[in-house]
Amino acid sequence: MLRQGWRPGGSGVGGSSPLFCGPDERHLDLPFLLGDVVLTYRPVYELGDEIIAPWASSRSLLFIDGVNRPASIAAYLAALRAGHVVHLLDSSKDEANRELIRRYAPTGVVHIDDDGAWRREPVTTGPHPALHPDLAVLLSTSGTTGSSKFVKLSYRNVAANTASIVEYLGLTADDRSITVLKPFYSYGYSVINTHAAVGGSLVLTDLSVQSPELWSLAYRSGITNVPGVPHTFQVMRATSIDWNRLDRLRFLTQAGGRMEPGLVRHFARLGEERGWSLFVMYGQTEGGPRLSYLPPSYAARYPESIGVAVPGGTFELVDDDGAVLEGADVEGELVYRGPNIMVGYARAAADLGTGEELPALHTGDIARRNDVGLYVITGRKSRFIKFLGLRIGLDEIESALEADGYRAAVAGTDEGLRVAVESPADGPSIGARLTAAYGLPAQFVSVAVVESLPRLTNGKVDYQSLLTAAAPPTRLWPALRRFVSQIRCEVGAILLGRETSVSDVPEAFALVFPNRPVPLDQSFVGLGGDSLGFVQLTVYLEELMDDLPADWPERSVADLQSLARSRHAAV
Amino acid sequence: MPPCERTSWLAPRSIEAVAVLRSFGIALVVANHCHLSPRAIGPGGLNVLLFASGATSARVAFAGDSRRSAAQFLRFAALVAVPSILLAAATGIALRQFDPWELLLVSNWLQASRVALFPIWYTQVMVQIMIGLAVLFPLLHLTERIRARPTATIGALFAVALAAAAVSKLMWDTTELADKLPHLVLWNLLAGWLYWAVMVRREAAPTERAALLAVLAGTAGLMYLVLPAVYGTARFTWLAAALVLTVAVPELRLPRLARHVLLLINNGTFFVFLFHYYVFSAITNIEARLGIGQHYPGATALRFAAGLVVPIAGWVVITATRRAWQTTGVRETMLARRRVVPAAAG
Repeated sequence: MLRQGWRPGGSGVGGSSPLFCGPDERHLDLPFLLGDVVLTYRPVYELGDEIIAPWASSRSLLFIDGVNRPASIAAYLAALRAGHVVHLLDSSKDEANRELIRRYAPTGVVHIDDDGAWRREPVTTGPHPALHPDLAVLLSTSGTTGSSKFVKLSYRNVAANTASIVEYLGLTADDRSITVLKPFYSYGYSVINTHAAVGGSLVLTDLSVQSPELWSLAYRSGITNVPGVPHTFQVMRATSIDWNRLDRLRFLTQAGGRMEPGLVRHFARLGEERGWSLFVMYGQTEGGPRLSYLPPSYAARYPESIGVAVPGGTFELVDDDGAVLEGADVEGELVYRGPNIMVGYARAAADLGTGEELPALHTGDIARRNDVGLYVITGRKSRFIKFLGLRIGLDEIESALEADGYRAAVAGTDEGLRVAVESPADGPSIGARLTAAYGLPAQFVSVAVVESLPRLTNGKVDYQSLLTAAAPPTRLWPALRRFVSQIRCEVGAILLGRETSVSDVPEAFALVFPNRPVPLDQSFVGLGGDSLGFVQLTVYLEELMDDLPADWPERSVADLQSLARSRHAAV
Repeated sequence: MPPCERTSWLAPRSIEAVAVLRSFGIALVVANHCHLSPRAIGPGGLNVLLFASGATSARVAFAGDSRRSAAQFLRFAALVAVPSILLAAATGIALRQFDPWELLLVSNWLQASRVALFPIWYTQVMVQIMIGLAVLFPLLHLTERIRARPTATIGALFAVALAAAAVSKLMWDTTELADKLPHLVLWNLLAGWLYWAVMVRREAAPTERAALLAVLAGTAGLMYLVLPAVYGTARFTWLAAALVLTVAVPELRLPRLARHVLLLINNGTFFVFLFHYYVFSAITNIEARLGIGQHYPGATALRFAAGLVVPIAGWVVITATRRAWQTTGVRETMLARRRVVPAAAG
């Protein structure tokens, strides 16, 4: 017995999406999930309805293991149809999931075992959080202190982004993808949404792209598309794929970070020869997630580009004051407007009852529009440092200090924070608070109380000067002890090939160009690098990214840094 | 520092063939100099290193204009020359022997013998080539030409270098100088540039790769036939194998352990080049003190291993010290103490 579809409240845009309207009669007997057996839409919908049956009486917050198993996808889609709010859990993170359940008090949790069997986890009877009527999906993103926060997506967001992707990929019920991505990643989740929306099908597998078995499965399953992050493509290039046997293949999609232009060109040309297309895409979880795509006909000629905004959305570039920048090749922050922009973040259960209408999404990426109107990311606006795996937002610390009434500027490297605070201020007390808040050792936070913050001629804070002029520790003996201990660590790091030896791209450059500033917009070549430094820096950079692009000597530090970061991103 | 990303030592990782070649080249040099297996190995390591150096230097030498390229060449010459001269001078002081022409890096044009323990001819040839290129590039606007038509321009330079080597050798017998002259080996370096132009700068089509393979292999064979004295069997074999294998397999997938060892050797190449003979000398002294002679089982293998490991260990310690110096703030602390910075820090 199939449940009647639920129509969401709010703007109502999502109400027309097949994801929320209940089963499309034309799809019911089409193949949907291909695993050990082929399941059509009908049994998948029935299974989903059965799993979420206990929560039929009221709109609920449901956490579901996001795995590539029929029960997971069935429960997720049923929850969407029933108007619940869903979050797909990364089932490999038990402790983090327990914390999420404690923090958000969901009405129900559905676990999927390795063998595909499902079970409902008993949860407390309440109180459960109030849910905003527009709210549909919660996606994870990592916060600046390393703690997880949710991106809140409304029905309108999900429906709009799904429709956009369906439109530019030209997806139909004949399309069939393969689950090389996990459903809890925003990219993997959007693959499920788009195929389910058109009556397409998914080959379910947990095999990795390195595995020959995955490709055997792909050959015999008649897939029409393969989604992948840059690493997937790196592996695909190195793997002996018999493209002739992928005879139904229509396109490959790439997202999850910037892909090296050489690799884009390689697959674009391969596709031209073989009769399929490459869609390079760009997105952010906050955009639900897709923000742009590069039309395949441009991929070989403009492999560095992220293309144009998805249908229904627009891009613009703005300067630091928010003024829109016109003209070709002018750099500014990339701002996206469209119906898929999230309705805010959730850091606690109380945030689930609210919804924001965000007019624009400031991506934090610096981009330019080239002469044919395609956008190219050139850097990153936001300032972060990383310490012990935590991303620490320098702007966030500044804001926190400002909220406490201080006028402060915060700079830093992955070796520590440099804070300047205008007097009057208690430097040691501020330092102690920051070390406690971010779990940093005291020697990694240096706070200088200054008459006025260092500024550039245009009045903006001079962070570079802050970095170089911040008061260093003045006790010699601890510094020497740290020095000797660090030598031991570095010898170990070099000999054992630990990836800790260089923690980011600017640090790698600093090691090769000692005693001189390394601006983020400079390249190895621009800094006057030589072939000895080339070898050394190649090694450092290869520690940070497997797919070091061939043209890296001419790329800026910022560009390489964003490339290194994209290794771990999965938008 | 962030936590380690632990991966298995056997997990496959990629490495550029040029990096492998560099490690292989320096290992060959050490093997040849310690007579590990004179019949099977022989000379050729430094020719392989010249090719690898060309393939690497091309990536950074042609990014601006010809004046910038010239500056790059001179900077590289200085980086190689300064430590070599210092070490040669130190050796001269220790041995109380001085050859001013050697310290001026021109003795390869006068005699084959040397005071320095390390093969200073390589430094001399490299520096002479770099100075020559630094003069030629701005005069002929070569960088601009290379940027406009990389393969054609470098191909033409390569052809000129080949002709210069062949004609010079046929007209002037330099056997007594051991043929360690820049114009005889310049084409090794330019072969690296050609490799860059076809294989690295952009993605090579299979036909282009095949053409490059044919050109490089053919050139090595031709030079062997034309200049058998310069490119003896061992030198020809190693160089031809290096050229062919690098083009055929520009990137390798190796277990992480193997890749790591190769990268350590690769990074320590210059240290190994400078110091391996000094390690041999130290071993000989120790053997003499112990009274065990130089012909016990494993003596050559010991020299080979130590000739690689000890200089690389030196590189590791110096690199670690440099890194620690930059990251722990000890330098700033010392400067701060000297300047007596007012303590406003928290």
